Amino acid sequence: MVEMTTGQGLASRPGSAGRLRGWAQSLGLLWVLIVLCAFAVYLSPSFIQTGNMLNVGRQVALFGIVSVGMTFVILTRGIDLSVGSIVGVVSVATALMLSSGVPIPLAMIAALGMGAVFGAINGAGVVFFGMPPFIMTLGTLVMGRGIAMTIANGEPKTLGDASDAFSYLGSGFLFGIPVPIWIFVAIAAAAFVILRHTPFGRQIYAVGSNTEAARLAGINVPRVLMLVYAISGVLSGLTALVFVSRLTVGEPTAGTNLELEAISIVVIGGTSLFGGEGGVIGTVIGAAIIAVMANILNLLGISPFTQQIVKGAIIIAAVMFEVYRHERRS
Amino acid sequence: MMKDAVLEMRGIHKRFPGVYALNNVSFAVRKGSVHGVIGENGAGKSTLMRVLSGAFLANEGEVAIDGNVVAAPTPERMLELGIAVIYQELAQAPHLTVAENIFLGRLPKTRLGMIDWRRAEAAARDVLDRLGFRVDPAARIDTISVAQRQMVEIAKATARDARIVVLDEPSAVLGDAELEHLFKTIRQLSSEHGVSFIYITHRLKELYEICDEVTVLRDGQVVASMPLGQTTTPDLIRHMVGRELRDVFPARPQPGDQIRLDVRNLSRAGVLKDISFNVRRGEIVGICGLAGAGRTEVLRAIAGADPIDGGEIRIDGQLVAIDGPRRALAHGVGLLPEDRKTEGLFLEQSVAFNVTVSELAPLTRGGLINGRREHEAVSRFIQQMRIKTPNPSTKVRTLSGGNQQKCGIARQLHAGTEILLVDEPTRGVDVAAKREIYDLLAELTSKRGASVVMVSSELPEILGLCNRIIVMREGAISAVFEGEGATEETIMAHAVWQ
Repeated sequence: MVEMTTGQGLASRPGSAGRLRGWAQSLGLLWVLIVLCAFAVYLSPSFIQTGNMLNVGRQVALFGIVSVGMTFVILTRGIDLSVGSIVGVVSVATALMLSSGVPIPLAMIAALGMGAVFGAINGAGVVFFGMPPFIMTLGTLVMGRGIAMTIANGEPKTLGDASDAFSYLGSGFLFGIPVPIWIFVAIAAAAFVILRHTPFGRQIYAVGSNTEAARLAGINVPRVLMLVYAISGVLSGLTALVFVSRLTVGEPTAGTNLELEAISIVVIGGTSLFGGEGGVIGTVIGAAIIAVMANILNLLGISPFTQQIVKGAIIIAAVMFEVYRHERRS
Repeated sequence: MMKDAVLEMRGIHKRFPGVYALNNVSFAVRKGSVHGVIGENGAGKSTLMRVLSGAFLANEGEVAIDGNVVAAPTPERMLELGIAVIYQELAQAPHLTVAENIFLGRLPKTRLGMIDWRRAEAAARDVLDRLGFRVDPAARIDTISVAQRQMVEIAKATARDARIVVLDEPSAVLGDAELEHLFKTIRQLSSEHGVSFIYITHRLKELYEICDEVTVLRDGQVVASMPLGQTTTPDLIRHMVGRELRDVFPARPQPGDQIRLDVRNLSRAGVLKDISFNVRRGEIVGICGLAGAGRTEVLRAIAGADPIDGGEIRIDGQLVAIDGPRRALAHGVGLLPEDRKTEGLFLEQSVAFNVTVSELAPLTRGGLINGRREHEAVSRFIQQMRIKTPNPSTKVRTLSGGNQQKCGIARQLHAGTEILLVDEPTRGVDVAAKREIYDLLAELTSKRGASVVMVSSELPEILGLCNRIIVMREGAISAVFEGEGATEETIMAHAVWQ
């Protein structure tokens, strides 16, 4: 940022402060979050009570992990509708593995591996068969839920003897803070470093900004796309583990509509649906905004049905703003 | 005030945050005349035309048509008053037909309210015939050439009875023959129908061919406006850049003997036929030909951008199998694509991002990109190549065409490219930046021993810069000349069918 003041007398040109503007946007989002929190406290002082804050934090973590994966995908100008279904399948599979005596570490690795395989299937459809991401992942969304229902026979699966030992991941505390929050912080930090400071991160932005230019610049576009869908799949698998651990049961319906939550979080967080712009800081703040908003609606005693209406409207507003920004520029 | 002025713009000011785009600009266009507008990129030409079309509202000043000041210059109002702006990047509906585009929004209807296709096509054919354009009114826009699309736009303007037509750098997309045709049309419309033209261009030669008057813009101000007969090319260039530009071309490089790139019998069905040539170390080889002759395709094939059906590529004597741009780069072969906006650059990303994206490994330690190292590397390029940018983190979109092009070249240098394939490197670039690009290419070859293959539609730059010149026609090489001694006439004779 130091070099902002140097340059050749052109510093006042529009757009010269590209990165600064990125920060400003995150800062603007942060203000939205702060105002929302203030409003929540005004509505009910119980908002800032530890119990409630931890609940909100868990919520942020659960939706946030998947949203980080979604951020990767959307940055490449793709979309992953299948995340919720992957959570469902992996949830059931994890419960079946644990109840049949598979050691916890092994079951966890297998769960993440399943997520990766699902993601890779999405990636392969997009890369090798030229499927539009929306359609490919819509297909795996429907199939995934079907698979979850089939292997679970439509019923929740218990964990058997592993139940107590496994519950730490979703319900445990570390230094007084719920474990899922730690997991989310670690994932978000890793994602931040990858996107901002590694060649792979650069390649993600390159593919999302201009796929053809990326190819001509020597970037292995298929590899980048395969990886982002695989990452999204792995993080869906991780979310499933937290879900199962928290509920101590493998629900075939787990993660239903999670893709919508994740997409709205990413878009509210300022990542462009047109690819190449945005990042994980926005997604973290977006996840917090969504969670606080849901908390406020609960505090206001608004029915879950009405909440859906509000949520839908917010998503439309966020996307409208994004489209407006995009069009104004070009 | 001009007596027979059909259009007058008086005291136009347009300010953007941080930029004074137009500062007290006044100029007038006579009825039935062709008025050239020139100036470097960023001089304010496009802004001025957007004010004229109603797309931008000026902060101060007025626009008068036939002496009457336009009260509310909205795009709709300006269209009504007969102003048609034909932008370089055409605003057309690619999936609609030529006829639909010409009559977009006002297609003739049958009595039942359905679109009367037969009448629409007949009317479109009528307009096209009158202009002498050979374009099928039933063809879809995305199946016709860029030149034909330009013709469709002109037909559309004529069909709307436009009285003032603005052409934004038509020669950037048209071949010579097509341009000649366009000029004929302009002359016909201006002399017979009293249509006035505003002709924006970077090519001074065209001014003398087609324009009656010229207005020169520099840094948002009018520096000269006069009949063309009263000025000379050196004068105009001096007005544009504010300084003299002599010897536009640097000294031709002195190539070595070693053959760097050897292409043999390169073929691609329907596109390239048996292309064989070689490029020595430190040599610039030019490829010219008419639009569609396969020039771009040769470069793309060598760079691995398009697959080939047959032929061999040897680099330093070694047979190489280039199956994609990544492999090409690994062999030191880099392409500067024809369209920097859609194929070359990441417009929404920073200068640094664009320069380093092809080769991040040297900047990476322990898996992480070293920001300071990157900043230093990019700053060096900015300095050496005189890229005008506030800093390395500026978005490339905000740079002028010439500086964007330099970012593209910087990427190749950063990636260690030794065989540089450049496709229309000076398209849409102002005179001063053109010269800097010529200098760069010459320096690359003479000092670094790089080999350059340059495709260009501007014969003077091919003639002025290249050691050897390859002429293409219909996907095949039709002639090869030594750069010294070749002339536009001899080249054109091999570029066209005889």
